[in-house]
Amino acid sequence: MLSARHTAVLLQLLHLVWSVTDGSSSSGTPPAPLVPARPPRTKNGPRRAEQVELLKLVKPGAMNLSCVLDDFLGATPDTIRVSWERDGVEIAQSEVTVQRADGRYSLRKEFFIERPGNYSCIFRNDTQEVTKAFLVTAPAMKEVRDKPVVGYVRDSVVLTCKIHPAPPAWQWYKVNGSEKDAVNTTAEPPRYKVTDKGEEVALTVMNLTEEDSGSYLCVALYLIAPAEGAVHLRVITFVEPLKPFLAIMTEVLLLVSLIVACELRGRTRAAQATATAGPENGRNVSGGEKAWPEESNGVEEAATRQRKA
Amino acid sequence: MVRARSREPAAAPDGGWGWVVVGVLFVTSALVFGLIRSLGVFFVEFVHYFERSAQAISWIASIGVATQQLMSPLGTALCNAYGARPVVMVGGLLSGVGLTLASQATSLTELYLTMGLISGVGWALVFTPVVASVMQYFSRRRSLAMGLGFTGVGLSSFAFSPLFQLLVDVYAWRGALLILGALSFNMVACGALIRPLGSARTKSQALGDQADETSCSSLCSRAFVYLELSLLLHKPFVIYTLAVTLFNAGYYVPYIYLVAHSRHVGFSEYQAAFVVSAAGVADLAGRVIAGWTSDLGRTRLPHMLSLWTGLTGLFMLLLPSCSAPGSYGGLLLISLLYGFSAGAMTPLVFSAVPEIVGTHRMLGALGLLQLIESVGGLLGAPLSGWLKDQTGSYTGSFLLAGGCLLLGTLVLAGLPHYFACSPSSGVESPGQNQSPEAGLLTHAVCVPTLSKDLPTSGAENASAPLSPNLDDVQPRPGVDPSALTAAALQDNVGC
Repeated sequence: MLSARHTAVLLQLLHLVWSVTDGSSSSGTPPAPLVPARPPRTKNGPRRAEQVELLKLVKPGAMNLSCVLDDFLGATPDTIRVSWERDGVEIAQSEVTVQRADGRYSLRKEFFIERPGNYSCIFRNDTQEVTKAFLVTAPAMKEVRDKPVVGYVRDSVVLTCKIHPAPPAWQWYKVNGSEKDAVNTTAEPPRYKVTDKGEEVALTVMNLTEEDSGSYLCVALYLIAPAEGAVHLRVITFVEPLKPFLAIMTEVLLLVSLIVACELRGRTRAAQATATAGPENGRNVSGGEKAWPEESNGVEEAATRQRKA
Repeated sequence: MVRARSREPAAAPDGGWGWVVVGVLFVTSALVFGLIRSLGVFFVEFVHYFERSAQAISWIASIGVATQQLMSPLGTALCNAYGARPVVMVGGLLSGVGLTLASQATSLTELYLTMGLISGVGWALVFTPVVASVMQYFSRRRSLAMGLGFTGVGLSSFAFSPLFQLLVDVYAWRGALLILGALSFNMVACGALIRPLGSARTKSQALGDQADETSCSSLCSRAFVYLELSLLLHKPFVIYTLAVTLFNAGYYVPYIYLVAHSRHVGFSEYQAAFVVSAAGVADLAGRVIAGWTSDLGRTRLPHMLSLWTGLTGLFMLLLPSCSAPGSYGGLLLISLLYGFSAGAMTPLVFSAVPEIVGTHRMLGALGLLQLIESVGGLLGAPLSGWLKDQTGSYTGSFLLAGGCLLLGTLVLAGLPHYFACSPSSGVESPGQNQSPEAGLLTHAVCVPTLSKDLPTSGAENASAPLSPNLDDVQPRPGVDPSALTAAALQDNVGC
């Protein structure tokens, strides 16, 4: 079989060909060995095994990020080099060498984080890398409704947003095409009212018109970065629910008239029957209020009774 | 319309058009109680829109239910005067109008007035008269008819919650209330289906000349007769009402606290909700099965009622101890058993009323019963809540509720002739235990026919109105209702 050195040269050649066709430049890191089980499709060559941790921050501040690795892809060399990256760009002069201690490699570094980003520590040896990433973001809006809130013309409607923890300030925008306009709460006559309840904010839109339909953005102004949520408003006139209302009312009126008509028909039929049959059969049918002869049950019972009486 | 004969027998057809009236009960109980139970969807919207606390919003339902129960005697009195059909139609109209006006409400007070008061009065004018009509139409299969009719409540609460949520999503709460109002107008059509059995104006005819006068005393006496206030002096009725009030005090506690108790013991939200749904299904089954078995006539109705209420109380008492060890199966089993027996007692509570007061006073009795039992409901739930706050767990509340039910069962045993195998003279003639005034009004008409029938078995009575009833009403083994129902049916009920 090929010696290890031959293999390495062959792979380097292959990598070169590959990166040229890819159009991207190698970052100078050594090529990864071809292992049949896993396709090495990383642009930068070295295979990375990633762990990701999500961090939610509300304001800029110092954060201690600590990376711990039990073993480096199965191997346990005595020392390992670790460097830090922010958003894919290596932080200058951040590479240190870590000794293996207590069965693991651990490193901690304090960062002053000003804005959201992807902070990662990269453990590397000559051929491979293992990274652990910290995704720093602002909190996300809770309970975002995808269905629109419905309001009526000339009525008012309340749009709400919830987030945890409570931001220092809230801001509302109305989306107009591709732009957003800040909601003006001071215009006369008052059309918008913002109620800030810390973790929850409510925008009351009064005297609705159909132009008020659309998307509204509630923005929680955290110091680190704003967090957005979208609420959709649909303004309809009262004609819309009136349609099913009138439909059901028509159905009710039809039913009532049907029932009354059937009964009147039955009574006239019974009155005719008693008029022809004479008084013995019609003990129940004098007056207009009885409807027994209408149903077959009643007729049978009446006949039975007459026989047994 | 004055009839040639002042007394018309109203035999219960026990079938035929009666099943249509059962359908009417199904639809109206769905549109009244099923609707009330599913209003929770709206309350979330109201809290946002009116910016008031959840407690202030929950008053809407409380006012609605309280009005429905308080106005029940009014409903039955009007039914006595004018017949069930117009009263139910007006009630359906009012409840629809209330909800339709509520859709235009601009303040919480307006919601209280429209959804609470107006709809509440409408519901009162609908519910009790329809229940009474079903009971008039059935005598042999009364409990089954009631059980079937009441399944409307359970089935509709399953269907209405998602439906209301959909309506609120599409039309917001205003449009949804408007559509609910339209749905409630269907009760007008239901009311049109209630064909009167017999003369609708018997009670006013019984009043004779006084019906034409409009002086204060005649109005008062008419109101007295229509409201059946004389029942307040009727000992079996008082005992029964007391028992039912105790039942009501305990009945609703598990419905309110079962979910909270399950969560408290440590089960997940989903598991707790499933327990309640399972109990609801068992409730439906219990209503129908209990109605059917009690109509078989093997046991007397008060005994069956005691059986089911005793079981309900027992299962309530066992509920905390069966769920304490953390066994989900135990909680589920006990909840199923509780649901079944609680559902079983519901139709029997109503269908036992004619046995106690007689069919001709059943209407007023139902109204008064609803009014007085509401006291139990009003007291029971807050008391259980207070117990929970004091002791920190729901065990005390369940024990109290179970205790109330068992106490009510004991009170039920105080009914006259309870321990007899057959109610030989279970119904006292209306001539007794009444104020002299009302007695004079009805005595002259009622007593002669009654005194003919009670001592004898009635079959010997050859008068045409009487014997048909006996043939229709098949005497149950062990029960001898022929004397009492024949006598009771003799005086036909106003609706």
